[in-house]
Amino acid sequence: MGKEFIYIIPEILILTTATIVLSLDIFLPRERKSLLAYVSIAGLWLAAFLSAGLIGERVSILADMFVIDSFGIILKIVILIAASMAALLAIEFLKESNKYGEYYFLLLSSVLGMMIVTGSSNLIAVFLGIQLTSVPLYIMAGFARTDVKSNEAALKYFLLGVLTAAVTLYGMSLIYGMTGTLNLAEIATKLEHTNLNDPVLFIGMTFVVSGFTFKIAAVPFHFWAPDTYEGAPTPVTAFIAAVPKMAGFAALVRLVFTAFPEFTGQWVGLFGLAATMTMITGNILAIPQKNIKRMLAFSGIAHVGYALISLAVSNQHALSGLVFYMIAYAAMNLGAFAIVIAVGRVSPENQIEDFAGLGSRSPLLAGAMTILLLSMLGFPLTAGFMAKFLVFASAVEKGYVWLAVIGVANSVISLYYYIGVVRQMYMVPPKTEKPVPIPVTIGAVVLTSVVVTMVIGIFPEYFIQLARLVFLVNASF
Amino acid sequence: MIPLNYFVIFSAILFSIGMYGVLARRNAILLLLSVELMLNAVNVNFVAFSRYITPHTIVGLMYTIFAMASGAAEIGVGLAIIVTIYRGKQTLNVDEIDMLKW
Amino acid sequence: MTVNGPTIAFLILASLILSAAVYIVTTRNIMHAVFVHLLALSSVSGIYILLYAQFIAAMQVLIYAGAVTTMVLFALMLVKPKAGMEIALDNQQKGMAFATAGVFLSVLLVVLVPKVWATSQEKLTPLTVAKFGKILFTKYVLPFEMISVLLLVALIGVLVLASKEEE
Repeated sequence: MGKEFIYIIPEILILTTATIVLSLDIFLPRERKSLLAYVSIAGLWLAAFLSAGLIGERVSILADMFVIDSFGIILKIVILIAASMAALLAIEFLKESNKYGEYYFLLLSSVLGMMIVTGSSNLIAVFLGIQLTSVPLYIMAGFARTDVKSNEAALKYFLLGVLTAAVTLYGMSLIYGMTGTLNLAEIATKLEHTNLNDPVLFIGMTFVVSGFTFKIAAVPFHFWAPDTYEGAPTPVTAFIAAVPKMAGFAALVRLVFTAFPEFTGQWVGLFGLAATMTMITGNILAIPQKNIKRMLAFSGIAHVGYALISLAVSNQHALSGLVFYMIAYAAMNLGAFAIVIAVGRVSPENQIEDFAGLGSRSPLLAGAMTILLLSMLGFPLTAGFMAKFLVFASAVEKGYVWLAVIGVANSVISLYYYIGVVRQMYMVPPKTEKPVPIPVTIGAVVLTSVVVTMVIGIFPEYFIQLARLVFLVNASF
Repeated sequence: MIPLNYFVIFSAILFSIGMYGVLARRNAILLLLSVELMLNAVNVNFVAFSRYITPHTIVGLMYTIFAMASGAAEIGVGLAIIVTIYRGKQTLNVDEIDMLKW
Repeated sequence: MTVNGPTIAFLILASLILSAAVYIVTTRNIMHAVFVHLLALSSVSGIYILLYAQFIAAMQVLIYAGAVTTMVLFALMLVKPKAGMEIALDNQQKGMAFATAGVFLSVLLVVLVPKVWATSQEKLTPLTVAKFGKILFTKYVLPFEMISVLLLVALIGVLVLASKEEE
């Protein structure tokens, strides 16, 4: 028993940091509270390093509730680092309300939930992990209490969230009724002796999968995303956009590969359809958007669609592609939202028009935004290109050329709205000559994400190796 | 012994009534009450399966306890969000909460 | 169809809960809805007793009747009861909602009614709280800890959202 706790030290560390932040909040004088942000970031990085030390381990602990394997650990590290970036983005925003303690406590609790989801091997732990991820997010979306839009964002996210939670639970109850267990591996064993064409099983599976796709905002469970992204304070949007999706994908991967390996043939239909619909809906609806946060919300939906292709293919190459995609996606989105925050400090409406003339007002931000948008588009030599390439290549390799073709066609559609922003920045004369100041914290995030995007794009080999590592040690995949 | 399917079908009906409530109601508090009905339907399912299919283990009963606790936490947060939104807008009708498009 | 004591008790409870549920989703009076909700959820604990899950039944009464209903009543008082009562509580999509829920229920019934579950033949016996506690703190220690964090999150969150501004 005692030795098991070595494996969950990163989780324990995050929980400890969260409680330290909450208690320090009481003792710190008002003007020193931003210190809590740095405490949280230190905790997140330390947990990331400790997790890295566990790479290569493969154990199941806490009465088979939790597994430590490279897939979980690598996603955990990405989640922790991305969350530290999102934590950095919120410092300026919190100056007004001075609620640093509460904010970082909620952020760390949500991260704890995601870490548990990435390693859960039992539906109870998956469900509670998702709850622990979501409940803080509902609150964070409504963090600007006096802003009606923020309240609304919280309410919509909350109502749709609890509705899907109920549907997920119902699905889980049917699976439990069929198999008599909630352990993912045991479900797979039990299903070997069950009639796989049983409609009850199908309904249960569909409900659970739909519940998880809500978290990653895949069509048709994407309705919350644009409103929540627009209404929530932008630092919260950056967090919601970049980080929880990794946990959602982790839950889907665990469910698909550990609990329902027998169904591999059927995932092409389900996830292929979901991927196609998600890509098309995201890209088409992104075109008419005037608000940059809504536009990025739909572009995020489209990216989820590309990433879902890997679940349709569902082999080792596709899954390392998925991990690679998640790393690239988090970097691009955190950087883009950081720039939106910087521009939003001058023109708080967050319209795409507000980016007009950014090329002359702040050449650095405009340059960074161009690189990030090109990466989202999938331009060669950027992380986005390599990510799409790996996923599409895995589809072609498995013989699903049509999925890759749809993906490429969608990337072409996305050219329209990404270039629209670039055009605003360089071709349209500015409405205001006000310069855009860049606070150090936001500048740091922009710089990091641009560097990461470029490095992954130019030297992808190392990251591909990292993503492959996930499955070399992992015989069950 | 009461046949297991009685419980399962009862739960399916209760779940569907709750779902109707979620779709048809526009008062945020009534929406929450409808979600509660759905969660209770799920719990009935879990308890019934647990007692009939795996009486020697108590997986399903454990799940019910955790689901109840997390449901209560959710409802608390939801009511806080509703109170906040009422302070700003003086309404609880989700149709009127429309600064953002649905 | 077996007619015996427990089955009759189940049928009475089930019809009570289902009619209460229908009332909750159709009534025009939000206060009535909350109290009928209390009735429905307390009756669900009766169902748990029929399933020999006394501990769950007790939790049901404590958590739903005790905590959730009280919270809802508090919230209603905070937002002034008239807020929810001025106009119709239903939205315009009633027909759509009915159709969706109807189709959903029909699918479930078609699938579930003929379903034969792999039930165990063991006779139901009550579970002791001691057994519960032991398993909760050994096998289920991870979910237990997660729930405690989740409740702390909810506590802090409610304070953040609903407390009055400091000024």
